[in-house]
Amino acid sequence: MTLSIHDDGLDDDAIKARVRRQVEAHGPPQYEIFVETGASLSIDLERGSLKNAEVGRDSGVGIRVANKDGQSAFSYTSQTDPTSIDRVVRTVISTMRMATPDPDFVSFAGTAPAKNLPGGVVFDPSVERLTIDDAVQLVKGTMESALREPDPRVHSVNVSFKASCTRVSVLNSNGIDAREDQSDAMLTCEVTVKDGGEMSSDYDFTSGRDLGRISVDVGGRATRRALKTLGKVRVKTGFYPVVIGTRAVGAVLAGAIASGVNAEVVQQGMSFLGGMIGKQIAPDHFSLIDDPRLESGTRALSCSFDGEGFPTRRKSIVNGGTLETLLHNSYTANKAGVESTGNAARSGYTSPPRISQFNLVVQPRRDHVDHGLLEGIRHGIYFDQTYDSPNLTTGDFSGMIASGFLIEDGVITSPISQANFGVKLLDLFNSIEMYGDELDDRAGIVTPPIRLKGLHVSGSL
Amino acid sequence: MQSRTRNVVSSLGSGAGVRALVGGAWGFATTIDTSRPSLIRCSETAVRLARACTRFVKEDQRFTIPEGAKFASGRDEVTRDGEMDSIAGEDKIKFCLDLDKSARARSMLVKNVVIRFSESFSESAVVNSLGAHIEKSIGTVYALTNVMVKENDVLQSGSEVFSHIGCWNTADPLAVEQTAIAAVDQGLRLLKAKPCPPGAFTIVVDNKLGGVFVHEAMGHACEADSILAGQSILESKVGNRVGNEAVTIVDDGSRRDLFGYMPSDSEGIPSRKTILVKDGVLAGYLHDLETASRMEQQPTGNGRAEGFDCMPQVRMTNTYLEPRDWKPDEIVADTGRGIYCRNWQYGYVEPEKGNFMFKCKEAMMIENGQQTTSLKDVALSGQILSVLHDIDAIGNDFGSSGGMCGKGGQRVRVSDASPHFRIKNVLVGGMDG
Repeated sequence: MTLSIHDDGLDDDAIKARVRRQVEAHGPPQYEIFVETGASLSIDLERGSLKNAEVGRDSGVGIRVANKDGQSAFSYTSQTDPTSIDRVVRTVISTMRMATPDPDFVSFAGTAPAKNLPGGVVFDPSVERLTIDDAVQLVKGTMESALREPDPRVHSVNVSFKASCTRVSVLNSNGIDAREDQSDAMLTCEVTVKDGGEMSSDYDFTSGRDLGRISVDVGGRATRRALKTLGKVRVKTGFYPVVIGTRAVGAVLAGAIASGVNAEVVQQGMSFLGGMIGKQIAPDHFSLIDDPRLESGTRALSCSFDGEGFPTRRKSIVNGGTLETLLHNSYTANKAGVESTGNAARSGYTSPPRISQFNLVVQPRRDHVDHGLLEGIRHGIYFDQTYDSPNLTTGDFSGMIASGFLIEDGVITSPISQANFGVKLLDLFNSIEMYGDELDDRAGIVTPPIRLKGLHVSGSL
Repeated sequence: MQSRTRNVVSSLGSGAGVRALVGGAWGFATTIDTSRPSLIRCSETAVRLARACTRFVKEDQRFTIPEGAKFASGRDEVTRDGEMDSIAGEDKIKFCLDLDKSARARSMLVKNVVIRFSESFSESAVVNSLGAHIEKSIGTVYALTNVMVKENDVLQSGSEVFSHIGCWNTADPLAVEQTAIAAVDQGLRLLKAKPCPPGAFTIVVDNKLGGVFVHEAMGHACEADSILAGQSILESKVGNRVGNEAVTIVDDGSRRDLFGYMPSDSEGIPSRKTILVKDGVLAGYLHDLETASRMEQQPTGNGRAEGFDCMPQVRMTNTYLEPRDWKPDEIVADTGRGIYCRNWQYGYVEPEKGNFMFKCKEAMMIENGQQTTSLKDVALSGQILSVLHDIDAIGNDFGSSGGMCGKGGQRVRVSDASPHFRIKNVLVGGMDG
């Protein structure tokens, strides 16, 4: 009962070979075969008591076919026995004939010089050997860490751990034949606190490709974070100097840019960054990298090839404030007459390739990095977290500051209650002033905190 | 421009999940191989996992499911096997292409239309050692039309959803076309919209936004798993006044006319009507087997899993605010200064903090009882424990919208519904500083 992806009898080569034979027997269309086999383990600890443990095995195949007219279709199945494979191949080919011709379709991903990342970067064999007892020790250790410094205001502590191992392989009619084993682990602790009639909560997590990144200390960090959210004060509506904390940079800055340069969204005319390539969208001290080949840190989204089997590569999305590239898969790249950037993304064998970023790295110019990021802010807001997302078509972004703090005379003081914000993203990018000197590396975003000239905030005072 | 298909997707899948309860700990294992030996292996794994956990269950959290719970049995066939194939795939694709043309023909300002049409059919069975043995088959149709419009250099988008219980052969194509047209009209209105001023406002919400409001502002905080986890602001509040006495909020999975319909939940408990707030007083929570057992309540049929490979969680089904006596027009006419908010983009809640927020698709400023300026990008937020007290007018109409609700990594079908109603003192985050 481990997460081994090698001992369940599934042979991805045999699956690919059968699909290939069946597709080729039905005619000469282009094809792409995506096979995924995986195992996962998760465990939840609720208020100190083990609530449930779960193991799952999932595997399946996703098949895309296309013909010379650009008619294309995608089918998937979790049933990898020969009869089901034959059925799904017949289905995908008959479905392809129902599709309209697409003159923009040229070909699935072509081959390019490829080299898998060194062993150990995206797969940690110790994840594969995890047992349920190991997982129990991790969640109990996290709980103990959360309660190490007893505080009567701590109302509940909940811990969850999840680990998975996956083998991904892609084969297509252009000669791509790629395979990689990947592992992931994530330990999360949520702490709810109460003080008189006030209730609040916060969480922290630790994640990465290897178990070495997972530390039970996340429990203590979650408790400290949660306690800091008690004693909320209301703020007045106004324009405040703002520091965006590392948990919020993904939503309001790095992720917003990456979503805006998704070539599919741009080609549909639905991105505010369409037509901005080569233009200055941020101050010249701001750069943003998409780096799927990160070999250090959590490497949360590192991988050797994308969802179409095309080799991934590091690329500069914003360089010195100038927007440099869109993120492409083979379809959008062919349509635009450029090479794919290797950003085809899939959420498993059940989805055809879309487009997404991998690890985003914010790279400030050195002369704008300052240890005293908060210094000089007399009355401002530390924007810690939001769960909102921008309107990509207009570039307008309004939402709620889910977690935020007052900055008073250069120091973070009280948490703030119920405040909303609204901003044009291009204005927000251009208002970046400075960066903190500590990098945070979480869930595919590597960034320092970032100081803005200001943001319109609606408060409830 | 020629209408064309972009992704034509079909799928086939099956599997089984086995859950074992040993002394208050669950073990859960899944398999995609439904042969007898594989199912036996899967069951053994589930039992082994539960046994491995049970020694770490605290004494006060141990539970067994009491006898006497009423489980569903028999077969509930909303959609028959084969109905999905009764209309050819080519015809469904042609329908989408025609829909695309209709939307484009609506205005010269339409620059792009993206339609996502999906139809599904599933058969499932829930069997447990306590007496449940129910087989279900159900189909659904979900169509999203997303439209991009442009005038001079101003870009805007509009989107509308069609949702339906049953396969395409039982759906109304005209209703889908109306949603596509509505998406275009919404985009065109937004082209003229002004940024919304920030601050606290009286707001009037339409049926769709009102439904999401009820879902986010109250529904999630009533899910008993968050109560037991100490993660809901509504813990120990049953019997307390939580809102104006005109407010009655209900969850009802047995409503066949709404998109969250299901005959029974993923644990085999029949769906039913559950009153969450009765005349402004918190009346109860939504339960699955575990929470009902631990809190000595009856299960409410809200234990839902996205699929065979997911553990059931406490989830809403069809959640709504009951209508009262105001005519919708009268609510607006009675509002001196406020914002009329229509339809929703998304919403979320933090039950452990008591905050919720949602974004509406469009809005109109209300001045002296009249709708005046069109507004865009209006984000609304509030606090669970105070907002229902601030509802001071509830309409006599009723409308719903269907969609998918996410929790703990699982997405399930739900619908949210309400009459028009008015809330005082809602915090609005607009773009106009």
